[in-house]
Amino acid sequence: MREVSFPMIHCRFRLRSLAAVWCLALAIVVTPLTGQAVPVAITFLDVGQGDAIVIRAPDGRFAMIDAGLGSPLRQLARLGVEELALVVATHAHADHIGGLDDVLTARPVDTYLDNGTPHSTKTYLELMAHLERLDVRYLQAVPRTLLLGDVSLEILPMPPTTVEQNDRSVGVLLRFGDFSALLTGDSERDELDYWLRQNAIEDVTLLKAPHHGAASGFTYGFLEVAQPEVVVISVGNDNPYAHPRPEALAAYTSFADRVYRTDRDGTVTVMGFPDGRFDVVFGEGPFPQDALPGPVSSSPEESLRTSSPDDEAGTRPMGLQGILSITVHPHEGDDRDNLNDEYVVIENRSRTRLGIGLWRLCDLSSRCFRFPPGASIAAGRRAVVYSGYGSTDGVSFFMNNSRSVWNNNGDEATLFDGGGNTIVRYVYEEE
Amino acid sequence: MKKSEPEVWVVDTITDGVAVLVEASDDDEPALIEMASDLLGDLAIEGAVLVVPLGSVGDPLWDQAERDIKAEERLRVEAERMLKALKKRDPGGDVSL
Repeated sequence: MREVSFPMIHCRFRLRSLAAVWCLALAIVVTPLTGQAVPVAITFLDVGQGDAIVIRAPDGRFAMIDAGLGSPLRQLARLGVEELALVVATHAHADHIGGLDDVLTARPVDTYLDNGTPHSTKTYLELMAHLERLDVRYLQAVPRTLLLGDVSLEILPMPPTTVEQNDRSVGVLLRFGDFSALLTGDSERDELDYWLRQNAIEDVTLLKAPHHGAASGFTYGFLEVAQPEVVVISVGNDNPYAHPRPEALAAYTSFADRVYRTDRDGTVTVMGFPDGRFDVVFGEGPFPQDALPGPVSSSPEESLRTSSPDDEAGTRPMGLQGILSITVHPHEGDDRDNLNDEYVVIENRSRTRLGIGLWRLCDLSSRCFRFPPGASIAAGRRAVVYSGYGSTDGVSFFMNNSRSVWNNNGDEATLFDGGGNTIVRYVYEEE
Repeated sequence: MKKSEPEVWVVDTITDGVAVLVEASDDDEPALIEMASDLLGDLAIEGAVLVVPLGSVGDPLWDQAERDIKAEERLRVEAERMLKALKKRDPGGDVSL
């Protein structure tokens, strides 16, 4: 038995019952989401071969670590980043700082931190000249802690004897309650070993793969201490360096439950909760964690579902019969074509508007779209989720992917509520 | 016929056999190229300033490139001057953003 209290509704139920489904659905529609766990969101922008990371603290403020080779302003706009409390340039290579000049031009920046290691490229020199002209606080990358609300950013020590840019990458250990992330720039073995000797590495939830998955960007000793649960590799498609290297991929896969790559998964957002849990969302869109609901239930016994993958399989829709249904229309042909001919239809067959704000629609490989706060489907109406780019009008939603999501040869579309409970699932196989 | 001026490039990165060079021109958007670092021979050094003559059709003759040590020193001094000035803005210690 689980009791859930809301300001105007009091429900006591076993969540497997249909009555409970109605009660919860109604509650989601009318309940202001207050006092819930709000995560930190770490977004790895798909910037090709390079790094650009945006951190959104639970208080809504932003930090950015590197900015890729070209301008990331379009992506910052999509994410709703209007100003930055902190910008970190991990090191002076163009694929990390090339986009920073545009960022400094277009967004107010309060504080800037870099590795203090000069370079002789025009990219670097113009960036420094720009910083000199701005009224920005400059911080050196010495061991220190920066506080962004409830998120702490610990700056790791740098090897004192090297002048190599990669091995003087600014390392950032992010902590938010029991969730932690290690963000490493292009660190190579010398810096990773130095961190180990300094006891600067700890067991983390998330690791940004050092140096785009280069063979020089990992050691087993480093990974044994870091023990990441999820690894994100920021890497360009068909890059000339052959990153990520197979040996690096094998190492990451052997330690982490999940390994994501921006060349294949596009922009990846890891949302960390203070209890250590994390969630992964794909695509570029507004950060959704304002008023995110905390978990309603994480136990299978309490899951809100009327069918499970084991209950039913095959090609027909499963789920809340009479309330919600999903159908998937996979994309056929070249991914360079318009991806908006691939879409998922979610139909609300009830006589009540159903709130789906912050719910997630995921495929079998956990590529997910999160509905924006306040999203809903009117009684008897449909919502359509397109795979390609676009702006929502409240009925049409866009995953903003550059690649096809739904496999033609079979896949699953699962709709989760804000607490991660399975609401409805659609399974299809190749015809 | 006037011979074209040589181009000036700076080695940005050497990674896994690939060199990335950034042009040191006055253009707002400096050009950037990737090439096999072997083509630069001993000049494949991050931060090296290379003066590269152009061929008859304006193609950079990388095998005839020369390193400009004086230019490197000049740029290093300028970069360190800016860094020194910026460091004066650092309040020190932990920081609440």
